[in-house]
Amino acid sequence: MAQVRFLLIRLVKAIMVLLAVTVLSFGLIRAAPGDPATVMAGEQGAVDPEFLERVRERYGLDRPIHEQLFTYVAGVAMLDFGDSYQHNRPVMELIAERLPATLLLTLTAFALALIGGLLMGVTAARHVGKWPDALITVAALLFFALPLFWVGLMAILLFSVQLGWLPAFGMSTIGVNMSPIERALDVAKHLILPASTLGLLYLATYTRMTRASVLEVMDLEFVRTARAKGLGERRIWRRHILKNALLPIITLASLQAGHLVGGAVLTETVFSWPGIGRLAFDALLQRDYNLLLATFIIASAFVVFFNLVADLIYSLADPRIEVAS
Amino acid sequence: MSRPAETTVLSMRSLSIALPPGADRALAVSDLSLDLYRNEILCVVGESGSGKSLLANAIMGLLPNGVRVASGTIDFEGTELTTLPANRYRKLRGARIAMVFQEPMTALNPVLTVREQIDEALVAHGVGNAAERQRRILELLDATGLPDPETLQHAYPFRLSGGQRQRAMIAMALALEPDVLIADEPTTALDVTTQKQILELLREIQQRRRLGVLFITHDFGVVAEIADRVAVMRLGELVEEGPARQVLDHPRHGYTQKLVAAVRGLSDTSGAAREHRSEPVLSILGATKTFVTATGGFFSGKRRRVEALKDVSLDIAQGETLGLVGESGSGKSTLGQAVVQLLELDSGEIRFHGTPIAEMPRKERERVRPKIQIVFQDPFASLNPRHRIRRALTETQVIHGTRRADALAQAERMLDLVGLDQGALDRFPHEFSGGQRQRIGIARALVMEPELIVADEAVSALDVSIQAQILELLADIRDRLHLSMLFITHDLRVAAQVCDRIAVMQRGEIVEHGNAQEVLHAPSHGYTRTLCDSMPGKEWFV
Repeated sequence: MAQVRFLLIRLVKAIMVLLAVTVLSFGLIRAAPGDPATVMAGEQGAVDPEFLERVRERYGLDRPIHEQLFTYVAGVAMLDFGDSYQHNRPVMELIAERLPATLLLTLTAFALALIGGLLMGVTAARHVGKWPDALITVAALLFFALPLFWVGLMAILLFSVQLGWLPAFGMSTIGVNMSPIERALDVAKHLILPASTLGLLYLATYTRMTRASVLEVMDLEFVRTARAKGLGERRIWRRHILKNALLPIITLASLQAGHLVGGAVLTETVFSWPGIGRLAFDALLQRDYNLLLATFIIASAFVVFFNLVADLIYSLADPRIEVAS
Repeated sequence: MSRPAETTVLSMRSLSIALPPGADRALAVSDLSLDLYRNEILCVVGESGSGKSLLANAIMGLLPNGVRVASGTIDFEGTELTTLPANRYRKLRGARIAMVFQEPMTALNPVLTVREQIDEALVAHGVGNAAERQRRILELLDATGLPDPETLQHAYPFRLSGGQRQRAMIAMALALEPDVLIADEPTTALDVTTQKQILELLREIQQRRRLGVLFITHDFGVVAEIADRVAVMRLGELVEEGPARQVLDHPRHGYTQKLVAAVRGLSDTSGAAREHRSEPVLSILGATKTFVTATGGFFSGKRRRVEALKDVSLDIAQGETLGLVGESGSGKSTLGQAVVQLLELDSGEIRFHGTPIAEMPRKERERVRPKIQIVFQDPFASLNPRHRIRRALTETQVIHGTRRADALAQAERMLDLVGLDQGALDRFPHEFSGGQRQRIGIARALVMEPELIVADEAVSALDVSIQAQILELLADIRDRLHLSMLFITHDLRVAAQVCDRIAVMQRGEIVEHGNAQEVLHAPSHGYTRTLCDSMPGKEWFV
């Protein structure tokens, strides 16, 4: 019962945050110079005041701003983000098309980074001061320091151009008939380069975080108590060191998971990955208000959602944090 | 105490423990020979740096990285421990030799329940049957005096009080019925009333199970309370060993004599307690403060209210020392912080020479604030590690408008007053010993020429011999500069030595207040009597 109440309260809070994000984003975009009408007029090469007027009237841009905002928020509440000026299609449709690609890319990158980072971090901590630690620490620093787009380009040069092992761009091979299994393998092959490129940055973060956290916990007194009880090293690591060392990682991972939707713009651009990131970038250039706003709001929704998930996981993992009692 | 049955369970011969290169000395323990018998409590006493804790860790085979047994033997019932392979050592640890640590909060895993933590010890040593383990866990919790074991076993450590945690820790150590129990300062982190209970529990369990207990402590009061035999260590060497009565009452070695004298000096209160009839420098009137903390989640709506101060009123006259005595959570530090204006009261007022500080105009308040200074418990934590002492001693003066040269001259005078030379100015806090750092902390409080000093557990973190020096210094400075002092401590004995009057606090209230001698020797309130009764080794002190 307490859990349900807690969830309800958090949900209300989340909705309020999203409402605030919507209003702020709306205001921010409107504050920028230019509107869809001017962009369209520019494309047609005709700056006819009457044309501008017609376009604005058609999209409701001539009405007072608070009225527009109200209409927009009311629409968003029904999951109606309006039409894209640029594509002449409902925004929801466009996003639904692109979202799976982005999620596939970012979740794969995230999973690689999390698993790899934990393994590398724990390994480094176990051999602190020896060569595996030095190697992992330097590698993590390197991954952290290298610019993402450069790594992407180099990876394309090496694995696609030079070695020809992996495809350089896109999400699947176009125009070939494939069985479902072949199709899946094809997508997986396309996924390897962009996912590992994007994952490297996160990998570095998790490695360093895990290493630091494990090193800190290793020296705590309850670990000594566990040894004094005569526990085996395996059990000491699993129950005492890792169980405590992973707590901060949970927080970090859940918070980062929220940024996955918005965080892949660069990688999507380098690898021509048909995801949300590129959609948002194009929408920005075209002053495609509805589309741009929708990507903002959806990205925020993910952040808010994973924040909630973080709180829940944390309260399960750490008894000192109580959801409600 | 009856003479213990002379069967040796643990025998150390010519044991030396080497520190890593670059430590302050090569051997943490050198050439130590000591026996522990079955059915006795052997107290190993020493000040910080004596090597007593490393001795315990060496017996457990749990020396920190870089520290190793350099030579000598540790024999446990015929098994040589120093050369024992890791897997056989592991079977011994927790099963035949168990250990209890100083700080039960950090020595217990915060994310496992009490039951889980006892259970895993049983599992690790092959008690396979789940029902049998459950029965043992409940028995152990019951035997260590924990209330309602059935429910309590599922609690996480943070849910328990300090005393309960230490009981759980002891239950865990006893889980496999060891022959030897090593207790490393097991009551140092506890309040004096809780300490008494835990000492009684350890004594009872030791006798019931005929255990050999190696009890490590720095506190001669605790030694007097619990020891059958005493071994005194100093800088890694065993300086004296013998039956408790003999070592306590007729110490042979000079170092032991000095330590015993320092401790006994604390109960010599003949010099203290003078009458003061001048106008109060500071008056506290009806001070009330309630802390509201959220437990649980952000919106769970559950708040915990802690009434830290409930209508507290006190006066301190010029040149007078008022002791504020209480256990943790009594509100004594909250009051100290309110006095130095680090904390705002909910209601009530603090008057300086009759004027409420809160009602003073800003200018006036800025003039008055430096007249009330504080000396903290941990001098290392309260000095910025990256500032030289010069800066620590001049910064406040400069902020309050003193010229730099004058500030420096004042700093030098105060260093001289606390017995440090001027070379100290160019050094960093870590380059000093604990006692020296506390001298600096006092000098820092003095540079502003205060009229009142709040000493918040100012000697609690120090070794006994150093403690005596600092107390002497405080009394000397107080008399020379005609200072008033609010002396906050958990230790009634320390308070009685330096204070003229003592106020005893419990749960935010002053329960007893009077002349220091009377409070110590003829307490009128029940709580003060409990405090007095709980002082370890009180019979020995008298």
